[in-house]
Amino acid sequence: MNVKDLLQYPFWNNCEEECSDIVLTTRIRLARNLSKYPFVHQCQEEQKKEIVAYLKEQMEQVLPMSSGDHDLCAYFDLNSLSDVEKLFLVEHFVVSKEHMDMKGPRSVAVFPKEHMSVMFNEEDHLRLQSVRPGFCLESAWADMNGFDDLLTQKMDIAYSSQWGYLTACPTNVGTGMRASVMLHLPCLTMTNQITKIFEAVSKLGLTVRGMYGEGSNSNGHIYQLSNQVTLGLSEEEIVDNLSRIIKRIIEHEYTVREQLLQKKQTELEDKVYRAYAVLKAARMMSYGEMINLLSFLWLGYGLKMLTHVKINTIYELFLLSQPAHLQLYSGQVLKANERDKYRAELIRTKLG
Amino acid sequence: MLCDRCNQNKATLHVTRTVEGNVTELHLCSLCAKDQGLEDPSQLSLSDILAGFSDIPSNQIKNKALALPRCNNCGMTFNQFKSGERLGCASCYQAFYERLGEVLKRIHGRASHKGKSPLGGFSSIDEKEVLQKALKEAIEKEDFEKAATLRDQLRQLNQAPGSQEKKDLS
Repeated sequence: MNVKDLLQYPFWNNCEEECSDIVLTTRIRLARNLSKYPFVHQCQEEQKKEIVAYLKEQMEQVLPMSSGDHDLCAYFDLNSLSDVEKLFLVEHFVVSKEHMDMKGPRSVAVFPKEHMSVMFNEEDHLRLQSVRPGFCLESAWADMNGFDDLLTQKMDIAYSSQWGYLTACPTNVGTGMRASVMLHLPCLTMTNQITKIFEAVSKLGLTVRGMYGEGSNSNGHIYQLSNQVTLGLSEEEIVDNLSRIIKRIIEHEYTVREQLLQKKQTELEDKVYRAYAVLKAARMMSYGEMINLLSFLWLGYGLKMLTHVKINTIYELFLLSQPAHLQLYSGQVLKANERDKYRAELIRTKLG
Repeated sequence: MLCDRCNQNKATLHVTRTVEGNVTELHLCSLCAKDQGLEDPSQLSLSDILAGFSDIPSNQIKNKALALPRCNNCGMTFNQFKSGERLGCASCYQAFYERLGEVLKRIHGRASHKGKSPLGGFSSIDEKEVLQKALKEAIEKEDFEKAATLRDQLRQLNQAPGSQEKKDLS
């Protein structure tokens, strides 16, 4: 399988039920290390190669890569991919930005139907990751737990009874778990309540970041909330805490939407329809401008203002309009302003 | 007030030096004072006291103390870890056991794992041995408060459900 073949597996599969207009994705990540090697950044090149070979071999024993149904797994050596292909994997929630940027022997195994991927030699030897549409922390954890057990059952994993799973960075030690949810919160942002909420949320042990994780800005009113503490809480407790807080924030966003609808309906409609008009007419569109406009379209969908625009279309545009997706989708290498033209054309086509 | 040299123990020896109106102070705990040959104040000569004020800046003295211990497996020192924020290998967790406990408490507010363990079992770091050694030292130093904390940690470890050696998978 090539990287661009992952486009055959639509991330959001006609998901009227599973997606809301607020929660974009749920993500669970586990960090594991083999006890007999140093952590990745301390390894020699040879050791990194050995680790990748060993992990691939172990994985193939328990999760057949090709069993007639070769949709089961795709395996990519990151050093053999082009820059566009690597960026595509980041945009598709398969690898982290760190994994893309790092040097040295590293790879990723992707299970597209299960929304699961395993990075070899990111900051830790093994980073298991599941990103799925909608708000589904409990089921994501249940699947991830099973996957972790299946994959690592014969490996000698670095672990201690005192500190749990031993990781390169002490911020991950213990459960090695980072659980996060990506939220679309336009009304809380527009009414300037978002900062207060996130200050309160940090006191409860969560961190807030922009769309692409650490160090990114938030655009399109999209925020990623994750747990900060990984030690001293069980995986279920982490999931539970995060879940409860997310539910409160969702309620809050709905409340503010109601209030705005009552007091400022026309202003809201104006924003939504203007965004729709620009998206339908523009001949050039940057990704940054698009997700800000798309955010209003999305809000419009949530407020039942634009009944002819399907949620699936919105999510599809969100994913496919990203720089690397655009290029693999079009089958061409595109420079920045060529991408802006192609993106505008794609939007006009999809919006009909 | 903590010792200037190790930054861990309470300072019990205080030396003040005044040279041409500039006053500098040195505060040492009994262990570091002993290391610097400054054990018994009544036996101190002027040169002994002055030797305690080396020309090395105080933060480097602290760094020297922090530079040890060193992980036997990968060679990383605690100082290197502090500046890089990442550990070198799984054995570092044992090598830096006590200091890491403080670091982890600061990051997570807790210093004990609660959650799943590897299905296939695991090779345990001999934490009991580390704790027992630290407990013995604490008692010898008559640091009974520390000894009590270590004793409680040992008890917890003995009761922990995951505290088993790696199972034979054959």
